[in-house]
Amino acid sequence: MTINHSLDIPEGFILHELSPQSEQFLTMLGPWYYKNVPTDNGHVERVFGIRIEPKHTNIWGTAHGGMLISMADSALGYNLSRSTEPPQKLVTVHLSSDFMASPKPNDWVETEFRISKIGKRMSFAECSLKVGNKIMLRTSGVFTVLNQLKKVQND
Amino acid sequence: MSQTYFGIEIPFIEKMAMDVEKISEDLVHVHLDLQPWQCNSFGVAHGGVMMTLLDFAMAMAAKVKHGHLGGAMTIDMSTSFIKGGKGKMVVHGTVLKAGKSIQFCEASAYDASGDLLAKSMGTFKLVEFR
Repeated sequence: MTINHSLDIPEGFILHELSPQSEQFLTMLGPWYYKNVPTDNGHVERVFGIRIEPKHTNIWGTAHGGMLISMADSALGYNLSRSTEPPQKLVTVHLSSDFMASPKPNDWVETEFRISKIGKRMSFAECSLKVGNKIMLRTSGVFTVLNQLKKVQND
Repeated sequence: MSQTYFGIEIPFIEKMAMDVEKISEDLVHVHLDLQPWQCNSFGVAHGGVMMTLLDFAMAMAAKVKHGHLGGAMTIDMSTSFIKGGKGKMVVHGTVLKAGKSIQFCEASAYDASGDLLAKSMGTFKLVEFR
């Protein structure tokens, strides 16, 4: 199966540059594309998109759950960490996911991010993965600020 | 020839360099020797890598429990991250309640010193290979 990354990227999306050193796992998952969308609460949400390839697949030839959950976790962490000024270093504490449908190779999967609460120590957000208007994966995440975590561990 | 996991090919798991071993009808072990490319910017296993490990362990536990020839499809999964993963990791996957089709599973990830890294519960559906 031929996947052409450079063609057929939805309008408004551009390539999301990754660090070749510290983001090798995300590089393997990608290439990633993004567009920035202003939200009602004054933040800018980065909507990520990935085109599903054979390397992402499971026994049935659809996107593996681990790939989808990795995409959602990354979009949650990226957006939530940049929703404060200055940005926070966050790590995932808990992630809960419902798998509602399975994207197929060549499907364009896009993230939809929502903040529930931003706290000084803990933050909460949701992310859905969609193909068109159809929800594929629905996730809910709890994140903690890394320096708070180190402080607690050192106490 | 592609690697198989109890008779099935899973390209994404092969890409992730994970392997599975049947311990008994009720327990599988999934192994990963964490590679630098699988780490996040904090130098520990990326959350997506951990969840892929845990998901794979639960799905394989469901498959082994029933001697199922096909795969186990994830319906839902919930994961708590307890400690950053490094080095050689092993995940214990088990079936808590085996239904005819729906399986309630859990998995726990440990590092080489036996510390608990992450824990998942998940619901899986046995599906034939098509």
